[in-house]
Amino acid sequence: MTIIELREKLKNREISSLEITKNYLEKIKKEDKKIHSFLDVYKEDAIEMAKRADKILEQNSSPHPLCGIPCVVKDNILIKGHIATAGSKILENYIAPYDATVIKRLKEAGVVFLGKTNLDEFAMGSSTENSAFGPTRNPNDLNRVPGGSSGGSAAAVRADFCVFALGSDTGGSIRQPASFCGVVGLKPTYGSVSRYGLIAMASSLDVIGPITKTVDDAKIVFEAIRGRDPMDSTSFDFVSPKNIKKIKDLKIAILKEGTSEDVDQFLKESILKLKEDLKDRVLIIDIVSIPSLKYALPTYYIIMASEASTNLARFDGIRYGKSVSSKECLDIFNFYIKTRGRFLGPEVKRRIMLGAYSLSAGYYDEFYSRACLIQKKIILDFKRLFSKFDLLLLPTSPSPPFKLGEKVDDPIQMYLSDIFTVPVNLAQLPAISIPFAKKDDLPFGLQIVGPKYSEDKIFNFARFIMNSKHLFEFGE
Amino acid sequence: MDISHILRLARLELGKKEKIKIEREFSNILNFVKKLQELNFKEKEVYGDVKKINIFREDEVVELNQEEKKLLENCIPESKDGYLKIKKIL
Repeated sequence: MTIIELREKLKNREISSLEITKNYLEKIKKEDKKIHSFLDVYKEDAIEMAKRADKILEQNSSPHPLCGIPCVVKDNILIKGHIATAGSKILENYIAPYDATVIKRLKEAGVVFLGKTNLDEFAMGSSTENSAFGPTRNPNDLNRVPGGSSGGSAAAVRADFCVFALGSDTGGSIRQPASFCGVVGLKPTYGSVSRYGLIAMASSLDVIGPITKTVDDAKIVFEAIRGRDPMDSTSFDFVSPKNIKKIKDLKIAILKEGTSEDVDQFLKESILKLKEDLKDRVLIIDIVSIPSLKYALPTYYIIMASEASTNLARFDGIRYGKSVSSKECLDIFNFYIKTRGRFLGPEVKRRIMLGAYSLSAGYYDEFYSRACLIQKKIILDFKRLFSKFDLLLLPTSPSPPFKLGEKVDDPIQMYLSDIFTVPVNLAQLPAISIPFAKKDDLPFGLQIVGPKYSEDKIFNFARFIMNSKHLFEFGE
Repeated sequence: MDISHILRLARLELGKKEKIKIEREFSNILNFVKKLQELNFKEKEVYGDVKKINIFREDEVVELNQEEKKLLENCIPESKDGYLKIKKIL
């Protein structure tokens, strides 16, 4: 069920929040064993929240659009009094002492939290196989990964264990799993949603966003969580530009690199066919190239790893999280390296090392400074593109969901699955992934990118594409 | 390559087997990001575009209630009388 459908039913008293919450809890209990999208299910708390929501719905004639709607939350976002592991052994027993700002806002709206979802450790990965608590499986095909790092959230939405989910996106972690699971994922403009209470990976790139079944639902959740927060100095008050262009007045660019030979043949053909189908429906549609994008992935890896190595320095075993027994250590340095060595996973270690290396004396200019310069170049290239076009279309991922274990031993292959999502984070732009084409029951996502603050334009166009599916027949 | 220095900077201790594996993976990753060295462009081309501003707030002491204090204290692996307990640092 979608937010809009359930809201109607709640309004007309066809169903109560308590009933739907119980239904979901029952379904999760029965069916999540084979998918493993949850790390924690709030059996009792969810019931309490649903009862409270039903009271509000009874007394208030115009409740918040999300009142009584059950959702799930990626386990790197803090919910007060509940465990937040970030998919890591080092936080296995960590109980969040406060609510993230997004959670506070959803609580005020009357949302029901069903539990926390699985993710790659500290959101580092593209398959959810890096979770210290075991992988999540793709509901479309249990032998395949759901994508990552918000794989648990995307799988839970796809399997209908909830109405919507929250994820976080640093280099594609909302959009790529949304693409792999066949659902909608929005990565908002950087800073439009507060990061307070999100366990940090790369602070200049991280953003929280919704994973939903429809574009309209993504808009409702985005509007509920966005806005300035004094606890995050990079957040701002979001003002939607007035006068959103009509579809027929849009100038659409299709990324040339998104139809190269590295992209799945079927997906490539589907995008080229979309171009033909759109020709008479929009003002301009053209194929454009952004040559600097070929450097986006290495640039991203240096900037993200540098920030991650700094952010994760806090996991020293002293203030929170797990630690080795101080009795087995000679001194405090020994205590740090043993604690981190034992409780952090391999991908986290690799990224911390890359970051420490990129920031170290002698390599800083060659790696970190250079990456920051190239980031600026990529930002400028996007600006140039959006001075001529309204929106950019490209694949979310170059391939359909891959098999479990297929890439887990080859970090570089895994990194390449984010090739079309990381440039958007580097440029701090908004983007959505929507289910677009299907082959052998495996979904492909289409990514729609716009200039900063253009979420409404993106929603409009995304809705048009999803509602016009009958116009575009891509193997469904 | 020898990664001992990087491990020291990263505050990580690895087991013998793990070290051999990560050593190999890490040099692949370095080769991958070294792709950036091949790009030639004028720095002028990309400078002077970004405006940066500082955002400040008052540094105020926030009083926590008992429940919040308890939640915070529960996070600490080793504590004594409400203080963190750590190894000698001097």
